[in-house]
Amino acid sequence: MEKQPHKAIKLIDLKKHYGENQVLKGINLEIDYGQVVCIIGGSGSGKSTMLRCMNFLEQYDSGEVQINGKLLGYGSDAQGNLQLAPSHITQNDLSEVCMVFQQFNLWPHMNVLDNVMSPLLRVHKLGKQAAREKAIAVLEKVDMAHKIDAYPGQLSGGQQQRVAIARSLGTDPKIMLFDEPTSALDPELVGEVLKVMKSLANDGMTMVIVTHEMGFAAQVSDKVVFLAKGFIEEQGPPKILFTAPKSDNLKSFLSTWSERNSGIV
Amino acid sequence: MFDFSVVLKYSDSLLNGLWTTAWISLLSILIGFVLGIVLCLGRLSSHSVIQYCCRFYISAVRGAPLLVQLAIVFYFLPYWGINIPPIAAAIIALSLNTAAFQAEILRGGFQVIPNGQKETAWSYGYSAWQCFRYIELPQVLRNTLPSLTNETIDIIKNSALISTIAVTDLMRITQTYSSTTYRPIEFFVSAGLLYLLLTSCISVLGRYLEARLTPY
Repeated sequence: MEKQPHKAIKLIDLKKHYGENQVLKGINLEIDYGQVVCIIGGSGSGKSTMLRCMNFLEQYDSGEVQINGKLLGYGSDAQGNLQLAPSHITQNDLSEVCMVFQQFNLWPHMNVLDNVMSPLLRVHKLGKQAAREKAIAVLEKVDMAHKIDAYPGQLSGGQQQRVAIARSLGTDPKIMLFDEPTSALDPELVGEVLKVMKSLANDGMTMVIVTHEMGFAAQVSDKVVFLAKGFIEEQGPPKILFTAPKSDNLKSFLSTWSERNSGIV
Repeated sequence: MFDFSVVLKYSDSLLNGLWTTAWISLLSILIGFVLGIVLCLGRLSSHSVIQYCCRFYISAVRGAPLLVQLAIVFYFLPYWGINIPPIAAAIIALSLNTAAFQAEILRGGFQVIPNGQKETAWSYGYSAWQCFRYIELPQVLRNTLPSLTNETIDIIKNSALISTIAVTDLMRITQTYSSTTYRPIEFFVSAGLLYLLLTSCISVLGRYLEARLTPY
């Protein structure tokens, strides 16, 4: 990966609340291009909210989200005050960022090919032939090129998620965000999705992954971030974080997880 | 006792009336659809004044008889110096009426689309219009087609009321001939069958479109 002048993503004292509930209480995080970062933590720890702020699917209250060095979602008006930026400007700043969702979010009225082609035709303004070729190429990458005529409702969850990943890849993202990409899948389908994600990581994609798959996090990530109650409680390389957790919260989180996985609970 | 041959004598007129009923109803459905989408989007708008106005319109139109609405359009417009032929008044009243019903049908269609689908479109850079045009509308049309077919059938039947403002639709012609020939049973039964024929065509068409448009 060539040297980039900016961090892929930088969060500075990021805060967000829903009503009375302060979900993010001041998050600081830097993610380099080419890094794979896994976000772990219990439910309600704020990990999904943090990820959604990186894509501006949630507006944040204070602090900064920077994508490639540029403040996301807000701009200065004539008086120099921060104002919510127009939607299309924010979308443009996010043109190299893609989100893969827990619920896949394929558009059910389009077949697989059209799902992948649609952003290429509508947003990236490719011609029909070029869009089609590109769509088939990325579908081959996730091993779904044989299903181009199928509708999402006819596919398994794992297949739908692979199509969703292909749809993202079609737009040539530099940064991919994954919001619990395997949590809605039957256990036997998790592997096929993780395999695709692993190959993306090996190709040098910048990835931020909210996940409960600790084994996967340990294998692929450069950095693991543990969130608890709206704070980053601990972060570091997976080897250190998983084998020598410092905070009590992380210790109990990891022990609950390993108990569950060894079948004791 | 019943003599339908008298109906046959006037069949040309009856078919003309059927044609008038058909095109006025279908045109009103189309105009009402466009207005209905606008109303529905207004009803779903986050702008409270727009939302309230659309809500008020929909409740008012759905809550008052079509006959009253027809009379208002037909008698009040000239009162304000706007003179329009009865057919135009009929189309305006029917369109304004069905718009309210279609708005509610469409609203249901928009509301069942999971928010995640729209978020996804936004995150890919779709404008609000593109999301509406390529993601929402095709699904809304598919999901609401049975109800829209129903509404079309309702409007065809309700359009009989436009006979009261001197439009020579099927009902008006039926009434005229049944009184001049003293054969009301024959004429009203025939008119009923003609309405049935028209509405049956619509439901067959609706079912055909449903089958074509529902691949998943």
